[in-house]
Amino acid sequence: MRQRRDTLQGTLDLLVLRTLAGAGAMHGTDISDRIAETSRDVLRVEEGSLYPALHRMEEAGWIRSQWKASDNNRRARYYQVTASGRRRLSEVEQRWTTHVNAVMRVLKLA
Amino acid sequence: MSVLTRFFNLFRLTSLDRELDEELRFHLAERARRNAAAGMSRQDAEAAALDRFGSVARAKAGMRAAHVAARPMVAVSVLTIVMIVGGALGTAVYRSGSGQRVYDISAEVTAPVPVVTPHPEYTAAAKRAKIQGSVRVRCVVRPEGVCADVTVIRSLDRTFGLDDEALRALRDWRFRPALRAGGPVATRVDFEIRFTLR
Repeated sequence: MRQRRDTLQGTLDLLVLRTLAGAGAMHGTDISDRIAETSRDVLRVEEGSLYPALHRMEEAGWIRSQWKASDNNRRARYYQVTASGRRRLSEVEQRWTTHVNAVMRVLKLA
Repeated sequence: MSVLTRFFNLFRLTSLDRELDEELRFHLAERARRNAAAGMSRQDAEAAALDRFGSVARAKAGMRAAHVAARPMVAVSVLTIVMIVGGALGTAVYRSGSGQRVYDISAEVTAPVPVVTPHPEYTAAAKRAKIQGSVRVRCVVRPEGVCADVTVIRSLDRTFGLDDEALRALRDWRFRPALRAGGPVATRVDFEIRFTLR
């Protein structure tokens, strides 16, 4: 069970870090929409889990935030990836690829 | 933990809560706006935004937990160092920039008592750089109960903002002033502000 939660949380971190690494500062709604768009609507992050994850990642120093005016001129919290977040991203990305490749190998053998 | 510390922790929590609320309110309004732009009625757009979000209370608890778990400790202790620079006990040891007589704490001069003590913030940069230790700050507590001439006498960190945070916090402290012969006087007091990461 613990393993499962860590994997899910790790996946959300990976998606968010990857999304932010490819863009400038984004607020939560944009992050969520961008993940849905780039995954062609296959991945829909649970928005209620996205915000706790953003705050956890900010406390870990992987992202930082700033209040700015949004496109339609409302105050929104914008996130961007830090240097330590980029390092974290390549770590998690690598772990993810290893995991997926392992599963694929098993699927081909079975 | 003193009643005052608890009170200020409470205050900090509520200011954090206000920020979390504002962020979530923005999200729900923005999601509803996008839903409406995609052709939903206003009412459906709002309902769908809430539906997609799930429990707001649970999300807020998760966000709050992220901060509370990571909040480092900042401890402030008052060092009332008695320094006889000149003259007999209880006489003015020097005059401040504004010409006011300033005393050191002694048998004749009681220590000022802090009554409002907002804590310094641990800057995010200092947390990332894992800076820990203490800043020693000297100030003159004026008869009006505020700090003047606040200076760092032993630095911890000029780069990531902890020295500045220590100065900023002390400028906001309020005191019951020191008393000499029953009347309020200015005193020189040193503080040690310790920044500790858990």
